[in-house]
Amino acid sequence: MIKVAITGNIGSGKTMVCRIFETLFIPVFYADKEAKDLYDNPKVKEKVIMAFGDDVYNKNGKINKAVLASIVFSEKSALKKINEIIHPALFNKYNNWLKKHQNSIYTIHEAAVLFENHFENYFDFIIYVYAPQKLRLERVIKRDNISKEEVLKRMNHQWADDIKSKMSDFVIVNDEKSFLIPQVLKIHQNLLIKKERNE
Amino acid sequence: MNVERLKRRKDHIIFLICLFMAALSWLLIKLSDDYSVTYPLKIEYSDLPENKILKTVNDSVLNVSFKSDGYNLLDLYLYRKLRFLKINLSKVKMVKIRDGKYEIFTRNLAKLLSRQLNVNESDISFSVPKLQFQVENLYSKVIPVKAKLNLTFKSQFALYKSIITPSKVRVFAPKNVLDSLKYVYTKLITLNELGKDEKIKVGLLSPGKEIIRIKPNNVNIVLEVRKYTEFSFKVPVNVSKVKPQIRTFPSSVTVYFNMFLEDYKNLSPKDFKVVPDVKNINLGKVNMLNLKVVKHPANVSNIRLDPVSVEFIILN
Repeated sequence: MIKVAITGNIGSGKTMVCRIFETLFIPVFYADKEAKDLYDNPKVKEKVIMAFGDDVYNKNGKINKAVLASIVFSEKSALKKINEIIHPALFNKYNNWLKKHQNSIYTIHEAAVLFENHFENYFDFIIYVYAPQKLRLERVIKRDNISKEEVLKRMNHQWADDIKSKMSDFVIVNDEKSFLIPQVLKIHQNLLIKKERNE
Repeated sequence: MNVERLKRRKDHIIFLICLFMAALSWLLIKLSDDYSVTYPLKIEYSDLPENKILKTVNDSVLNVSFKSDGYNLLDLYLYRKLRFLKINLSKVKMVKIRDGKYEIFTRNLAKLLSRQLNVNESDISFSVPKLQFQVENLYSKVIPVKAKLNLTFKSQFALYKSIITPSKVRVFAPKNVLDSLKYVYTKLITLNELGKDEKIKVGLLSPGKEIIRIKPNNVNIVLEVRKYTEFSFKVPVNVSKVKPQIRTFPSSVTVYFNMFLEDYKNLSPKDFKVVPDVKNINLGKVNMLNLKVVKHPANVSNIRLDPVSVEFIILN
């Protein structure tokens, strides 16, 4: 089975691209959402508290995203530490998900940070969703209701668009000028051909 | 020489004083005489019964002749400017001739005029024995009042509510006119830079002053001014009525709107309905569909969508 990853910098519109693929009956693993859910997993929770203290969880036992983000985005070692806790559990979850969808034509793994974590070799094809930084900035401010400075801080932890584009097999431009669906359909057709050739 | 000239000047002065005294004596004697005069008076009717209106007047000018001494006539001429004869119809006996046509006997006006002219009633005579006019019956109904407003507001303020008291007034008018009236409007209220409530007493606009009466003819208006702010909801794009079936990307959009803080707590995304505009659109030939808001609460304004159009896939 072909394993495809969709990545793109914050606010690029990865999720919308994935929704279009889902309409074509392609299963999508939303890694960022799954990772967030993992913080409720007792084993993960224990490790996170061991590493960062009780404050990263609310009184009701839910992860305090603001506190965690402030730790992770201010210290590089903290980011490494959290990745070491989350990534193995996430891959475990992904592998189980793959087994469930082994009869699909291909599967998609959506993640904001892929190249930065050196996961590119795990996938057969990588689709990069590109949007100009100004547009991404506007989208995230509106979507997450956070300040421009906060968004820029998050953007600085991601690699530049041109590097990621070059490392990808397909690029989807989501600049609100180019149509998305024709680009997705073209990639879908390409992947179908590649699947046929492999068989 | 000088003594001669002074004597002649003194004679002149004495002559002039005597002449003035003689003229004054003549004037006083003449003013105490009685004179017969005729005045053309323009007739003005007033105080018709509430349900009647003057339609046509047959006699608009009445010649009044009377006898009076010169002093009274001089007073009338100089100070009282006798031009109009105001007839209060609530105080004069009106005689009905036939449907809508009435007359009043001019002899009944003699008493009124005798006071006005300061002459004896018996010394007054009129050019015609009676005055005729036509009245029209008025009908009435209660009609709502609408305020005519020309308001500007301070930034982020708007009119929340206007309360008119009384909200309805009784209008008297001929039947055909009354049937065409749906509202009575206030005079234009112009207020600038409003940032708080205002209370105003304002007159009502009569669509035809001659034939329409409004009671009361002014109302009180309270203008409630409130602060509004921009809110937004994520609302799904409703494609249930679109054939063939489609799916839009994104499947939900943000609806931005202005609203008063007071009203916001009762609102939810379900109060809005956003649909793609597929009228006269061949779905096979376009890549995007424009969106429109087909349902929204009445008390929101400045509605806008983000995005304003969506891509779509036709589902097989």
